[in-house]
Amino acid sequence: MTGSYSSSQSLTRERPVRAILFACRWCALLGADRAGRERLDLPASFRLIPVECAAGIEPDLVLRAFADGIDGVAVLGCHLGGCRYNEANRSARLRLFMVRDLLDIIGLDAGRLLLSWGTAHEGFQFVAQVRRFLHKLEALPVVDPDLLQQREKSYGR
Amino acid sequence: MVAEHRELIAQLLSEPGVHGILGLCLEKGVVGPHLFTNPADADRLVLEPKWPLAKTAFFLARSLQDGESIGLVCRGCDIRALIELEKAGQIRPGAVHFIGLECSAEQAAACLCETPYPPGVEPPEAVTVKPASVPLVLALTDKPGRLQLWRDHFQRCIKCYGCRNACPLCVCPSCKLEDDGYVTRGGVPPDPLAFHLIRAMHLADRCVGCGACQESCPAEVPLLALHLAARSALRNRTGYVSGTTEISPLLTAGREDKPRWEETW
Amino acid sequence: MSGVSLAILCTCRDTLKGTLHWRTIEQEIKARRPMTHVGYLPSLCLYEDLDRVKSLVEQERPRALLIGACSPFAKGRAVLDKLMTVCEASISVTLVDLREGCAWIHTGDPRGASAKAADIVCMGLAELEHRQSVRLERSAPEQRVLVVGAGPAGLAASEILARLGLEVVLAERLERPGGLLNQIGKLFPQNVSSEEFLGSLLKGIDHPATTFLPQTTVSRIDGDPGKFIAHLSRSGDEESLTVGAVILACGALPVFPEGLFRFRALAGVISQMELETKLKKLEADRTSPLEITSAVFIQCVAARDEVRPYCSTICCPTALKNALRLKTLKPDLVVTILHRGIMAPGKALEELYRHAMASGVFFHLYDPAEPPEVAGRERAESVSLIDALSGRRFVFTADLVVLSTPLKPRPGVAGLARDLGMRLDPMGFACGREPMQPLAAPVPGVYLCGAVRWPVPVHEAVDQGRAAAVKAAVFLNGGNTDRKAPGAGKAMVLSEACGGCGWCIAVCPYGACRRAEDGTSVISPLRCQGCGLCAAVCPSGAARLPERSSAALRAMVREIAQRSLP
Repeated sequence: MTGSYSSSQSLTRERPVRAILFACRWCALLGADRAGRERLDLPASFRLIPVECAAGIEPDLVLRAFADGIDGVAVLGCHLGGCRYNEANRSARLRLFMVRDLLDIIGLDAGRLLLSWGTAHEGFQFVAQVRRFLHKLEALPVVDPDLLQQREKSYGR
Repeated sequence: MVAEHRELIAQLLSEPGVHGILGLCLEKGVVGPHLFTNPADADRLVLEPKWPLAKTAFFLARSLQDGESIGLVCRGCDIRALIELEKAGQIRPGAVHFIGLECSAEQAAACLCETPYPPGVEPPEAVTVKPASVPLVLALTDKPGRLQLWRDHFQRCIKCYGCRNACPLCVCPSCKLEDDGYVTRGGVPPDPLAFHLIRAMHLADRCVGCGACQESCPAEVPLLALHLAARSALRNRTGYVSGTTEISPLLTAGREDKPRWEETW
Repeated sequence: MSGVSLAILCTCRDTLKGTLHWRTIEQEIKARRPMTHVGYLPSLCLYEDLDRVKSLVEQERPRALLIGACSPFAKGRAVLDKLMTVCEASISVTLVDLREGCAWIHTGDPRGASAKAADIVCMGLAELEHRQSVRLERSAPEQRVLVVGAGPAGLAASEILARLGLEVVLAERLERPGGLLNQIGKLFPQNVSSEEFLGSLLKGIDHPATTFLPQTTVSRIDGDPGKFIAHLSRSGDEESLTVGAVILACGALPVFPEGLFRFRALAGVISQMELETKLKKLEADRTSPLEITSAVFIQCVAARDEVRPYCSTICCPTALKNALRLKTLKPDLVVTILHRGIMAPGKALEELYRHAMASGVFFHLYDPAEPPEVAGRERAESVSLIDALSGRRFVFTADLVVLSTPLKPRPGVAGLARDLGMRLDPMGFACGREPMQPLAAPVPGVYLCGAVRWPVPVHEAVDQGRAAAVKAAVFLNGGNTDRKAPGAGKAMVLSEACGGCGWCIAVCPYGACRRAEDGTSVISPLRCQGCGLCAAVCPSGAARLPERSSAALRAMVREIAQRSLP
C-alpha cells in the first residue's frame, strides 16, 4: 500500500507518510503483537514506540514530533477504567485532547493525533485502527514543508 | 477615584509588614511602575493606562522576608495571574494585597477580555468582550485557510522570547523553549509547532488573558488570539476557568478518588 | 569499553529474509550510525546462541547492546532477561521487535519492511544513547507490620505474622477486636458459633511481640516501603509509628435499609444485622419463645440497583443460615425468602440451600421492576409479591420482615487507600493488583485482605488475612516479586531544574512524589511505579524517567523524521 494512491486522490505528497504510534505495553502493544502473529497486513509507513503508559507521553513531545515533520501521531492506551496505573489514562486523555485542540486552532487537522482507549488490544482491532489512520494521513498534506525547508537552509543541512 | 486610591495607599504604607505598594507613578510627565514606600509619594499614583504588573509583583514578592507583604494597584488579570502563581507554589499566600481596578470598554476590547474587572466584583454591563465574536479572532481560530494565516504570522517571529519574558505565568527556572531538544537552537523563525504551541499547551489552564505577550511582541504576532483560543478550548471541555483557586483539570483528571455515588446517610 | 554499539539481529532461523533484506538493513544502519557493529545469529531463543552473544560482547566491548529479535511476548523478553544475567551491568541493553512488529506485519512490502527495520534498530540505538539509570538504595526494612483493623481478616493476619517472628501492631477503631464477628451469632455454612471462632482467632494475637491498640484510627501513612510512617490517633493523642509493611483489613459496613420496604415505619421490619442480634439472644436464652408465626426475607435490598450495581455475595448464604436458625427455634414457623436469584456457589453453600428447601423454607423469585410490597398498620402484617416465574400474585402473612442489605465500603478507607497508592473500583472498594496479585497493592509492602476489598464470608476473610500476612513477611525478608521490564524504570526530579510548582505531586497516583524542604520535588523510587505522569506534566522537564526519558523518545522520533527529509 505504501506509495500507491487510489485514483480518487489527486494529491501528490512531497514524501511518503510517516506516522508514529505510541502503544501502551499493557493493552495496545498486545494488539500489535497479535496482529503480527496472525500475519495481518499493514502499510509500513508507521513506527511503533512502546511506552509504559499513555499517561507518560508528554504533550510537548507530540508537538515536537509534528514540528519534525511527522504526519500523524497515534496514542493507543487501555480502556478508561482499565489503566494499570490508577486511571492515569484519563489524565493522558484530557492532556492529549488539548493537543488536538491546539492543532485545530492553528488549522491543522486534529485527526492527525489519534487517541484510542482500549480498542486496539486485539490483532484485528489494531490493524483496523492503524489502517484507517494511515489512510487518512495519506489524504492530508505534509505539515509545514516551507518551514522545514527554511530550517534545513539555516542549518546548512 | 484616583484620590481615594492615593489615600488608600498612603494609609496602607503605614501598616506594619507592608514593604511597599507597587503601582503606576506619574513622574516628570512619564508613567511607569513604581514601588511606593513613602506615604508622602502617594499623590504621584496614577491608575491609567492598563499596564501588566503581575510579573513585576511576582519578582518583588519572591524577595520578601517572612511576614513582609506588598500591595498592588492593578487590574483583574494581574490578580488572576498572581492567584495562579500562588497555586503553583511560586508566591507565599498573603504576600500580595490586591487593590483592583476595572478596565474601560476600549481596554477590554484591546485585550479581547471577557472579565475586565477584579475577581469578586459585580460585572458591569456592556464592558465584556466575547473573543469568539471578534472577526480577526474568528479568522484565526475558526475559518478554513487559517493555517496559512498562522504560517504568515509565525514567519515574522524573531525568537526574541519577549512573550515568554513578559508573561506573568512563565517563571520556570528551566524553560523548555530554551531546550535544543524542543526548540531547535539557532533556528529563526523557530518551529511554531514547537515554540508557540508548547507555550500555549503549558498555559492552556493558566493564561489569564492579560495580553502582555502580544504587547511585547515586536513582530505583532497575534498571540492573544492563540492563547485565548486554547483557554476556551479547555473551558469548553471541562468548564474550568483559570485565575481562581480551583485546581486545573489537567492535574485532577483521573484523580477523583470518590466512589461513583454519594453516601445517602 | 569502546565507543561502539553492538546490534545483534536474530534471523529467526533464516525465515525472515523474504521480507527483511538484511544486507540493505545493515548498510542503512551503518550509514546512519557508523559506530555500530552488526552481527547475526540464527536463533537467540536457543541458549547456545546466547553464549555466542556473550563472546561477541567480550570481544567488542560495546557500551550498548541492541538485540533485534521477536516480540517481547514471544521469546524476546525471555532472551533479554537471560542476557541481562550474563552481561556486565555497565552495558545498557535493549530489545527491539523485528518479527511480529515488522517482518510479519509487512510481508507484502519487503522494501518498506526493510526500511522500517533499519529505523527500528536506529531508534533502539538512539534510545540507548540517552539511557541513564536511577540508583535504588535499599535499606533493611523495619521488621514490624501495621495491621489496620482487628476483624477476622486482621486477626488472622496478625497471628501468622507473630508466628513468623515479626512485630505486629494491630490498630482497631473500636474498643474490642472482632469487627462484624461480634454481631453475628453463627457462621455459615457449618453453623459454627462465632464466639468460639472469635475466641480461637483472639488466641493468635496473644503474643509478646503483638500490640493490640483499641480505639485507634490511622489518619495517614507516609514514608516508603520498608519504612512507612503511620500516624495513629488514640483518644485524641497523635502518635507516629515506623513500620516495614502495612496490611489493610478495615472491613466494610452493612448498608442500613433506611426508608426501604417500610423499615422503621412499621414494627417488625428489621435488617439482617438486627436479626443476627435477635437470634443470638434467642439462641442463648431458649426459655423466651419466638412470638411470630411467619417470617419473610427480602433479598437484594439496596443492592444490584443503580446506586450499588453489585451483588454482595454473602447476604444470600446469611439469609439461608438465619432462615434455618429460625426454623430450629420454631419448626412450625413459616419462612419465605423472596430473592432475585439465590447466590450459593460451591458444594457447601449448595448443600445449605438444599437443606433450607428440605426444611420447608419457601423461595420465590421477584423482578426488581416489581418489588415486593410490605403492608401493615403499625406492625408488619403481610408482604405481597408478583412471582417472577409464574407471574402469579402472592400475599404472604408476615410478622417479621427481614431486609438483606449489602456491605458497602467504609468511608474512611478512601483516604488511606490514596496514601498507599491503591485505586478504588467503581463501587468504592480498594483494589490490589488485579488480577494476578489481588491482595497486594501496587506500592510494595502494602497488602489488603477481607471485606475492605470485597464482601466476603468470615472464613474467606481469614484465608485472605493469612495470605496477606505471608506476603508481608516475604517482603520484609527481602523478597521482591516485582519483575519490571528494563527500559521503563523509576522517575526522578532534577532539583536544579525544578520550579516547585508541585504538579508532579498532584498527579502521582502512588504518593511517590513529595515536596522537599527547599520546595522542590523529590521522588521515592521505592513507591514509584514508572507510569510517567510526573514527566508528562512537568513544565520544565525536571521530572523524568532516566531510563526512558523524553530526550530518548525525542531522539527516536528524530530517527524516524530524518528519513522523511529529501
